[in-house]
Amino acid sequence: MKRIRKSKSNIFAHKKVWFIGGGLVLAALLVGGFVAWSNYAWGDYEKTYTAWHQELDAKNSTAFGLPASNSSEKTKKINALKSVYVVADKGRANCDRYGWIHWQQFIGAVKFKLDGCEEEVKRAQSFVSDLRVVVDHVDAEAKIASTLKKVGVAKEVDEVSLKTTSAQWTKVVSELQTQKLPKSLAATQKLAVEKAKAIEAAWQALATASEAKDRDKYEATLGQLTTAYGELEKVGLQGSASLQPLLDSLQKTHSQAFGEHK
Amino acid sequence: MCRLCNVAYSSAGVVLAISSGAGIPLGSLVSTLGPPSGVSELSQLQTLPEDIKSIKLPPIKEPQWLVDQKAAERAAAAAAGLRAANLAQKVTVTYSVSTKGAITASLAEFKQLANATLNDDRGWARMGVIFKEVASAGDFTLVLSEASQVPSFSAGGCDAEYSCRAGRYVVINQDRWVGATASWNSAGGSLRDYRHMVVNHETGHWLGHSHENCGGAGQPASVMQQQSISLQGCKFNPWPLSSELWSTQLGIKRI
Repeated sequence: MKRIRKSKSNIFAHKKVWFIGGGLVLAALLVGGFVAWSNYAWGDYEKTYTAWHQELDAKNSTAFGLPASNSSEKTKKINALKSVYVVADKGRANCDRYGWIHWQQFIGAVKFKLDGCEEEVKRAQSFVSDLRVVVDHVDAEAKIASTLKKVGVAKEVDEVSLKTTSAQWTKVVSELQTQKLPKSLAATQKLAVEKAKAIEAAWQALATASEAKDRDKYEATLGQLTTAYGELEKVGLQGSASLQPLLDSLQKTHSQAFGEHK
Repeated sequence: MCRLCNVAYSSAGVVLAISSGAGIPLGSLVSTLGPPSGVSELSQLQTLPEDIKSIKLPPIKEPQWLVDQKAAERAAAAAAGLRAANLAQKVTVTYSVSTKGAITASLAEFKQLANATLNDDRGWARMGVIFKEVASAGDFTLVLSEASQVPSFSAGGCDAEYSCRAGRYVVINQDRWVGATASWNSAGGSLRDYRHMVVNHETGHWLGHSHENCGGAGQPASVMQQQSISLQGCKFNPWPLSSELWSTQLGIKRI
């Protein structure tokens, strides 16, 4: 009986060992599997992120490398720059992708990846934000130019069409005043309105002098008109001057997003 | 089980730390991508400066009234040029002075005043003509004639009442020289002006002029108007008008 009891307890002891041993092996396998999977997942995270950044970089290089020597090329370049926005906007999603292994951020290397992603996305977004400002500025400038060009056609004006020409400039002034433009163009818009008003007034004065057959006034007003048209150039210069700080800011964020940094 | 988890997580952390540490750090990954240049070139996208440069003051056709004014000015300038041309080519006209009949007026005064009138800057001299008195002959003869002798110069053309011109003779009626005319006097004209007027008028006939009428009430009379008879509403004017500065006799063109 004793032997039977002893042999039963041995069997139980053996089973316990096996059970514990088996459990440990299973746990080790699970941990190992999870580690392997995590490693794979973070590698993929990096690949995805790298692919995103490469795509952004490629889009950016392409867009910035496009020529812009004529109107058609300028439009193409602006559209290409706008496509950079789309890629940049996707970046944020890459950083959040692996939510259920996110807890591993306490591990230095993982934290480095996560922080790096966040940092790069932040830089990219900052760059794209500045890029948007520049592109919006240029787009809005084109609106001002388009409005002014409506009456910029060098068609001969005769005695009868003096008043019509003045009325056309009245419309231009009104259109310029009501255009919704970015803040960066506020000074340019104000100047454009001021100069267009001067041209409108000069045409009006010319029409009045012509009607009154007042030669002195007519000839003096012709001089004013020439000056007023010449003054328009200042609007273009103001536009360039107001673009420069935007480009400077973009240059900075561009370097931060794509240049060398730690 | 939790103890088991901690072991598992810790193991995983160690393994991940090792494996991730061996991976490419993101910072250095990014820096391997070349920075695309051309931010400053974005200023090329601006169209405003170029577009504005293309906006030019359109050609303005001169209004008709100004065209007309300028045409009138050009005509006036041409006239002035012609006048200047006439003045540039000075013509000397010689004349002698004689008398006919009984002359009571001062001949010396007559000669002096006649010559001063003919060479006055307000007179025919404006055509660029110099009137030079010579002792005899000359281009024409200026005669101070007794009134009754005037008709002897031309039976049909001259009478004893007024002065006249007959061929080369420019005849001044002594009665008019000393007393002008009733019409002139009653209108308040001075004798000196009358004398200027009569010498200019009769010499004007010799130069090729006919009689003129008053151009309009209140306007200065033409020197060729018969101001001795009536001013016709015009003002006294002893001197030729600018429009009268021409001479068929001397070949000086009408301006």
